[in-house]
Amino acid sequence: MQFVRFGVVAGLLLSLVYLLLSLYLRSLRRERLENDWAGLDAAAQAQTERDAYVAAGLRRYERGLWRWLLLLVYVLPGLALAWLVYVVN
Amino acid sequence: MRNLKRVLRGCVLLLAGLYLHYTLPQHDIAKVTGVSDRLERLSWVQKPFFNQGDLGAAEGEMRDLRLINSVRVNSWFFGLWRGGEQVMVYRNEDTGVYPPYFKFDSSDLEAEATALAGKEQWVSITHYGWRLRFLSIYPNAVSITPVSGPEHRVFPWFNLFFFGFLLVAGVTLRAMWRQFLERMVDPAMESLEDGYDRRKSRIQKWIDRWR
Repeated sequence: MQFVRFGVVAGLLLSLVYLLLSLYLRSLRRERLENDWAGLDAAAQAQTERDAYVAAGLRRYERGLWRWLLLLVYVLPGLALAWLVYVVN
Repeated sequence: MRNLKRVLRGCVLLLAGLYLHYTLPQHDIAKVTGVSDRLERLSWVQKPFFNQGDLGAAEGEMRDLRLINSVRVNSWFFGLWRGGEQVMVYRNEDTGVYPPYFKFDSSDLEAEATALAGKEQWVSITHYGWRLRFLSIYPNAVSITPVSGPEHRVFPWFNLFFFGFLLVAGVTLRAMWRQFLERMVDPAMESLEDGYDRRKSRIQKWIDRWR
């Protein structure tokens, strides 16, 4: 029973961490994309609208490697836990 | 008011420090002199400082308390200063998931301690918790590993990594909070202020008309 409760609480906490981190990293990426657009010259800015540029960049980001690496939020504590159980017992 | 804040902050820091000092692992260099096992009824003061005898067993009023008797090298200040010998008694209980040691093998540890009892072998006893004599509270032994002699020192790798992780987590949280303020709260506040100004000026205009 203790373990079920632990699993549920740990899962919820890790999900919270995952959610916060994913929002944070997305926000950082959005900020960078906005700055990138602002750095373009006038001709390039005329070609793509600001919102479209940012949205396209975010879509690329969501398919990218970073989103997958974020799953380490679950994997690393799991590995640490397995290692701890092995070492202690 | 500022002093009150300081005192409160000091109290919180002190409590956190005490909690970590109680919960994080420490290593004693010791010789096991014996093991003992006795029936115990814990009072409400003692209960927060004890786990359970065996994880699978049901909890009743009376329970077995396994103890490991030892003579250890006396140490102060997180083991940096040491000298002399002192008797020390550890309890040997399963921790389960809290504190998160995931120790389920208290019986095995008792067997190990029994095998070492009375021998001249120096061991490192990993433990957490405090010995409070006036409340009969014991630190919980987590593992016993043989070492070369009383001069052996164990480097606190786990604690190093733990505090490093705490630092990284703190810095990340701070950065996240700042990003949130900068990207979400500030623009919202600005647009709110803009709207407020417009509204005020409109009302002002309306009042002005009646003057």
